[in-house]
Amino acid sequence: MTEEQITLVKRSWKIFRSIDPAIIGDVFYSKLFLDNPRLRKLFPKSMEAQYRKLTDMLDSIISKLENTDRATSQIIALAERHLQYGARPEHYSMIGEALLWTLAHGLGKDWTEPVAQAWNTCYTDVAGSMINASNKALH
Amino acid sequence: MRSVNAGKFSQIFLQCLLKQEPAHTIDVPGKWMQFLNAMIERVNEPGMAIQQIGQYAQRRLKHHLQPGDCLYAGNALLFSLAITLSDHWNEELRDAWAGYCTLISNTIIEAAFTATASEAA
Repeated sequence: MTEEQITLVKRSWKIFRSIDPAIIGDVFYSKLFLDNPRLRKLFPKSMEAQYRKLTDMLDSIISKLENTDRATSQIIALAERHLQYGARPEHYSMIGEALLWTLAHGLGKDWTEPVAQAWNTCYTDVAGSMINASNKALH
Repeated sequence: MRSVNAGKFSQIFLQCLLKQEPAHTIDVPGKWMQFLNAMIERVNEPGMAIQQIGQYAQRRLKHHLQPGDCLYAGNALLFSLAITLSDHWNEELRDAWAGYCTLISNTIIEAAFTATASEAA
């Protein structure tokens, strides 16, 4: 990610973060499960606690974007934890689609082409690191 | 379509909705049907429909609206229409209904996002 992209992600996240995490989580997971019903069984029946975890996790990753070392160690730990929950490398593209879709709807007019590109790069980088860590742990 | 038994249609719709997401806390299915009727009456006035949908979403937020439900509801509606209309259901109708469902769900989701962001501000 370029410095400019990091700034765009952080700035747009600050806007997005003003939305109620329960609403963000509800929309994100509804989109994810509707498009990929088989992922539903990896999550608890009641999703409310999960909504807060989603925004907290994103908050934490985004706050470390400039600090590659800290971000990488957190991402590896996150990938290993998610592997235990049943997440597999092929799930990351499904999650990415639902996340970008939710961001686009939440940001509205602030979801510009450069912002979309920055988030796309950000997610590709983070998911790429998580997939690598998962593959290492799996093999 | 209006000649179809509304009770039976609601039942198919609700079953499909709950099958997709058993944890659904859908309150009154009749409310969804009432809302749907109102939206169909506004199909030729999309500006008015959007305004009305936005107001509906903001009102329902006070009653714990889960905006993600409208994505499932749109899907359940398409499925119920396909079953109910049977041979009359075709690709052209599907695209038209899917387009309108997307407009409605996007408007509800964006209204919910905007309302809670304004509250936080």
